[in-house]
Amino acid sequence: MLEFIVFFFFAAVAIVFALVVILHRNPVVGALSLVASFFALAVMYVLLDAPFLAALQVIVYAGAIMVLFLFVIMLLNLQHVAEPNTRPVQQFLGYFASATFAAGLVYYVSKYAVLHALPPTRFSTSAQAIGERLFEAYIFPFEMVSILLLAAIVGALMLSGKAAVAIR
Amino acid sequence: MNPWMTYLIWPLIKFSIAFIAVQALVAAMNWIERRLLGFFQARLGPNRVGPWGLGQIIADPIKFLLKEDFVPARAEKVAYYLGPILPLLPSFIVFCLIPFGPPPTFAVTNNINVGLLLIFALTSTAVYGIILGGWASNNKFSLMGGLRSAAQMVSYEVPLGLSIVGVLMLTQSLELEEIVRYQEMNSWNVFPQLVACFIFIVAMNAENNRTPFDLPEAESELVAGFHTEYSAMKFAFYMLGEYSLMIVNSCLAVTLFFGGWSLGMGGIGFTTEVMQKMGWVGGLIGTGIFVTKMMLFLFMYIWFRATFPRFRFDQLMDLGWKFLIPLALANIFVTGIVLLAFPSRLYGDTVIAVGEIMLTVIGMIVIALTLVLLFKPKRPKVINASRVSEA
Amino acid sequence: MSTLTRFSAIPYTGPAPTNRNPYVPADVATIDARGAEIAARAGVALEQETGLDLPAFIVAKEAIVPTLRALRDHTEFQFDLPLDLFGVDYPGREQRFDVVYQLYSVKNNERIRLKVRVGETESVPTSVDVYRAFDWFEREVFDMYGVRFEGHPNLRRILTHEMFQGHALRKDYDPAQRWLLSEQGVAKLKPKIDPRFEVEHSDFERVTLNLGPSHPAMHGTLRCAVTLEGETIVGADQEIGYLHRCFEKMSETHTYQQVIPFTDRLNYCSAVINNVGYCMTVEKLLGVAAPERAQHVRLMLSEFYRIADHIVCIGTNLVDLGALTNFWYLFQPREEIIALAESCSGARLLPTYLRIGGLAVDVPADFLSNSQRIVNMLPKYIDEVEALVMKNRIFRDRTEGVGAITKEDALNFGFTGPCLRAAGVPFDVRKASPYLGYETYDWDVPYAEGGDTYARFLVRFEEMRQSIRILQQAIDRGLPSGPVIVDNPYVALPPKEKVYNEMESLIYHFKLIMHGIQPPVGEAYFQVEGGNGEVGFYIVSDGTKNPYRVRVRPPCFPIFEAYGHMIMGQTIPDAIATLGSLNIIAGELDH
Repeated sequence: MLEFIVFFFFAAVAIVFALVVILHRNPVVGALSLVASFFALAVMYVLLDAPFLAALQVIVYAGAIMVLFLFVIMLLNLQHVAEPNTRPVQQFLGYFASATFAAGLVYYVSKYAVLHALPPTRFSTSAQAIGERLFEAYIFPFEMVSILLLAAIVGALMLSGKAAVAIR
Repeated sequence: MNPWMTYLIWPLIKFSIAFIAVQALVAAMNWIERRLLGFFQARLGPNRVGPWGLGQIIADPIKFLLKEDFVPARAEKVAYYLGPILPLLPSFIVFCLIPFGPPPTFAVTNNINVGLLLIFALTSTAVYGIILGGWASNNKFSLMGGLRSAAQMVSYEVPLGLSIVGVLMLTQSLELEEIVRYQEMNSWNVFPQLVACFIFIVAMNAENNRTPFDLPEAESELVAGFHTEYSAMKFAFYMLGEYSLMIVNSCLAVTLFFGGWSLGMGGIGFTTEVMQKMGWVGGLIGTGIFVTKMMLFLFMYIWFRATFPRFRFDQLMDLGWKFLIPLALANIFVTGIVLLAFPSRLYGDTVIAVGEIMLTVIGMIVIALTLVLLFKPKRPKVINASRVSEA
Repeated sequence: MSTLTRFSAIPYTGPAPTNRNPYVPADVATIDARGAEIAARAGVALEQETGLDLPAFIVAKEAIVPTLRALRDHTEFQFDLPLDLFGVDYPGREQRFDVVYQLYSVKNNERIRLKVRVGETESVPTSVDVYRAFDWFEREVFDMYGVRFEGHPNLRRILTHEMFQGHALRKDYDPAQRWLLSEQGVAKLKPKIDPRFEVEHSDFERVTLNLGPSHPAMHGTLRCAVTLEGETIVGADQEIGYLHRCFEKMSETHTYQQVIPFTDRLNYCSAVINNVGYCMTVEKLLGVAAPERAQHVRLMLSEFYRIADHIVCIGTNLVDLGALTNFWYLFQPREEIIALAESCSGARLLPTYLRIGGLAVDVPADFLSNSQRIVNMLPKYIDEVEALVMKNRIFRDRTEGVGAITKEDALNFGFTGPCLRAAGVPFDVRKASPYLGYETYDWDVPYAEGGDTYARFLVRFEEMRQSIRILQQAIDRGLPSGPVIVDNPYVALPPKEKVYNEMESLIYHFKLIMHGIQPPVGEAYFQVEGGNGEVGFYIVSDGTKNPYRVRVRPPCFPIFEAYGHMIMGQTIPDAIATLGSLNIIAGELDH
C-alpha cells in the first residue's frame, strides 16, 4: 500500500516536472524542474531496491551536471532571447519525429518492462556487485567510454582554449 | 510492525528531532564562533545578553524575525524564496544518516547500504540554493557570488569524493557504521590515509565556502556575494544552511577519519563492545565522544577563519584542479598498490598491519614535502635601508 | 579689507590689516642664487621671481609644456617628480590666476616652483604628456578656478559634482552658496579602455562593474568603475569627490588657528602629522620656531601617529584580503597610541593638539613612561602579524606581482611616501629636508623592489620598526625643559595669570582673540612626511587674520590617480588588494 502511494506520487512528480522542463519559457525554471524530476527518479530507483543507482543519479546528474547547466544558462542570460521563427514544415517534421519516437518508446517499454513480471529473485545491487560487474565483465566498454569522455574533454579544451589565448 | 509506522511516522519523528537538534546546535555555533573569534582577535565578542552573552543565542533569531524582510523589486520571486530553503533540506536529511553513537542505534534511520554515497548525493545539491539566490536577486554582485560558488563547489566535490576512495578501499564498505567499526579494530583512518584526510579537510572547507575559500561571499570584493539582497529570516536561513553543512562535514570527517564514536584502536580502548556492555550509558558516552570530536572540527573551522587570508579565484581553481585532484588520485594509486602488496583483512583482526604502517609513513612524507613546497618563497624578501637621500 | 572677506558668509568687520610687512625667507640669498643658476643652465627661457622660499620662475603659458619637458629631461637638474599643481586667484590683477607647478628632483634633492599667469578667458596647454600626474591636478584647477587646459583628454569637474555652478575657489565665489545634486546629475562613468586591450578581438562580452562609492573595500567613499572582460580588468575610471568638504575654501574664511582642526580631518588616520605640516608652514611665514620641548613632543606624536596610520593600512588591507584577525589584533597598540594622544589633548582620533608656535598645553607627567610602555609593546605586535601573514603562501600569492608599478611610472605619477619607496626610490622628506630635528636621529629609509602590493607591505612593516627606533632615541633623550609655546604675544596667547594681572597681557590677549595671527604678506610652502607621502601646505598671506590661500598637497591624490593604471590587466580581487595597500584616505584625497 505505502509503496504504491509513494510510487504514484513520485511518478506524478517526475512527469509534471518533466512537462515543465519542456513547456516553461524560462530556462532556469526548466533546469530546476529537471533537477526535481531527477530526484523523483532517484526515489523510483530506491523503490526498485537500487539505492546505489539512486545515489549516483543524484550525485552525477543533480549534483554536478545540472549545476553546470545552470551555470551556463546564468552566464549566457538566455531568458531574454526571443525564439526564432520556425517554418510550418519544420514544425510538422518536429511533431512527426517526436510522435514516432514516443510511439516506439511506448511499444518497447510495454513489451519488455511492464507487462512481464519482474524475475522473482531480488536484484543484487550492492556497490560491491556493481563494481565487480563493471570492472570485470564490462571492463572493455567501461574503458571505451572513458576514452570517449577524454576525447570530449580534449575537444572542449581546444574549442575554448582559443578565447583564453586571445586575452593573455 | 505497521509499514506506515516504520517508513513514515517514525522517520518523521526522528527527522523532527534531528531538525531541532541542528537548530539548537547552529544557534549555539553562532555564539561559539563569535566568542572564539573574539578570543582570537583580542576582543570580547558578544557579552551583553545574559551570562557570557549566552542570551545572544535567543536574541539573534528574535532579531532576524523582527527585521524588515526586504525583497528587491525585480527579483525572480519563486527562485528568490526557494534560494535560502534549499541548502537546509539536504543537511537536515543527512543528519538522519549519521551514526552518532554505537549500534543500538543513535542514527535516525536504519543502516543504509550506500549511506556514504547518499550523504554525498545530498550534500552535493546544497549548491542550488546559493546559485538560485545569487541569480534571483537581480544584482551583479549576487550573480557573481552565485557563479563563483557553483564553480567552486562542483570543483571541490571532485577531490572530496576522491579523497574518501582510499578510506573505502581500506574499510571495504560504504556503511558508516562499518567504517567506524573497522577503525576501532584497526587504526583510525587518519593515519594510513593522512593525505586523504588532508585533502578532505581542505575540500570540506571549500565546500562550505568558509575562509580561506569564502569567495562566494567575499565581502571586500562582492559586497556579500550571493546573499547581498537577502535580509531578515531569509538571510538567517542561509546562515543556518552554512552552519548545518559545517556540522555535517565535521561529522563526516570524524566518522571517516577519526574513529567516529569510539575511543580506541586495534580493538583496545573504549570500543563499541565496551559501550554496548554498558547499555544506554555506553550509548550516551559514545555520543559524547562523537560530539566532542565534532566540536574540535568546528573549532578548527573557526581557527582557520581567524588565521587565513582569502584565495583569489584562479588560485583557488589551481589548488583544486592542479594540486588536490592529482594528489587524491596518487593517494588512491599508492593505497591500491600497498593493499595489493600487503593484503588487508576485514575487521576483527587486531594485528596492526604492515601495509597501514607503510601508508602512514608515505603520507607523512607527502605532507612534509607539501609543507616545504608551500613555504618555499617565490622571491627573496627584498628590503633595503638607505641613507642615500640624506642630504 | 581683503577681497576675501567682502564675500564671506560671515562678514569681516574688523579693521584693515595692520601687518603689511613682506615675508622674507630665512636663506633667501642662497635660494635666489640657485634660482639664477637653474635659469641660466636650464636651456629654456625662465624669468626668475626672487625673494621666495623656493627657486621660482614665471613662465609664459605658451612655453609651459616645453619648459616642463626640458626640466624633466635635463641631465643635471632632472626634475622627475611632479609634486603639485594648483591655482591662486588674484582678482585685482589683469591676468587674475596663477597656475603654480611644483617639481622635485630626486637626484639633486631640490624643489622649484613655476608660475603661469592666466587671464579669465585664457587657457593653458595641458602638461599631461610630460607628467601623467597632472591629469587630475589640472582637472582640479579647472574645477576650482575655471582655468581651461587645452588638449586635456578628460577635462571635467573632479571634486565638486556635475551640477555645481561656478568655480568654488575663485575669490568672488560666495562661500555660503550651496548646490544640490539631483539623481540626473550623477556622473555616468565610462571607463577608459586600456589601449593594450583595445585592438584585440575577444569572444567575451564586456561588463562594466561599479565599485563604490559605498562598497566594503572602497575605504571611505571612493568610486571606481571597471570594465571587465571575463575576470580581467581592461578599463578603469576612478571618480572622487564624495567626501569633498572644501577644506581650502573653508580655510579662507577662518583664522589661522581655526584652520588647525580642519587639517586634522585631512588624513584622519595620522592627524597629528597634518597639524605639524600646517603649523610649521605658518611658523615659516611668521619666522618663528616652536620651543624645543614642543618640537620634541611633535616629533614623538608624529612617529606614533605614523605607526597608527600604518597599522590601520595594514589591518584594513588584510581584512580586504580576508584575514580578519590582524585588524583587531593590531588595534590594541593603536588604541594605546590614541590613548596617549588623549592624555595629552583630551581628544582621541583627531587631537588638534598643536597650535601655531607650539602645543596647546604641556604633556602630562607620565608622557615619557607611557611612551616607553607603548614602544616596548609594539615590536611584539608587529613581529607577530608579520610572521602570520608574510610567510603565508596564500598571502604571498595574493600580493606578489599584484598592483605593480615601475619606478619610472611611480615618479611620473607623482608618488611619494611608502608607495614610492616600495617602487625602489628611497625618497623620504624626513631625510631629504629634515624638520623637527630628524637629522639628529639614527634611522634608515626602508625601500623595496618591485612596487607591488607585497613590497608596500614590506616597506610599511619596516617603517614602523624605524619609527620605533626614532621613538626609542627620543625617549632616551628625554623631554627638553621649557615652555611648549613660543613667548611671542603676536602668535601665542599669554598665560592666564598674566592676562588677569597685567594690562599689557590683557591687551595682547584681546588683540590675538579679535584680530588673530597676522603673518607678513607673502607665500610659503612647507612639507612633512605624512603617513602615505609628502603632505605639503602652501599658504599665501595678505596680512589679514585669514589666510588668503591655503593649498594642501594630498599625497593620496596622485596615488589614487595611478590606481587605474596599476590594476589594468588584473582581476577584481587584485584591484581590491592593491587599493588597500595604497592607503587612500578619502578625507585627504577629496580635501
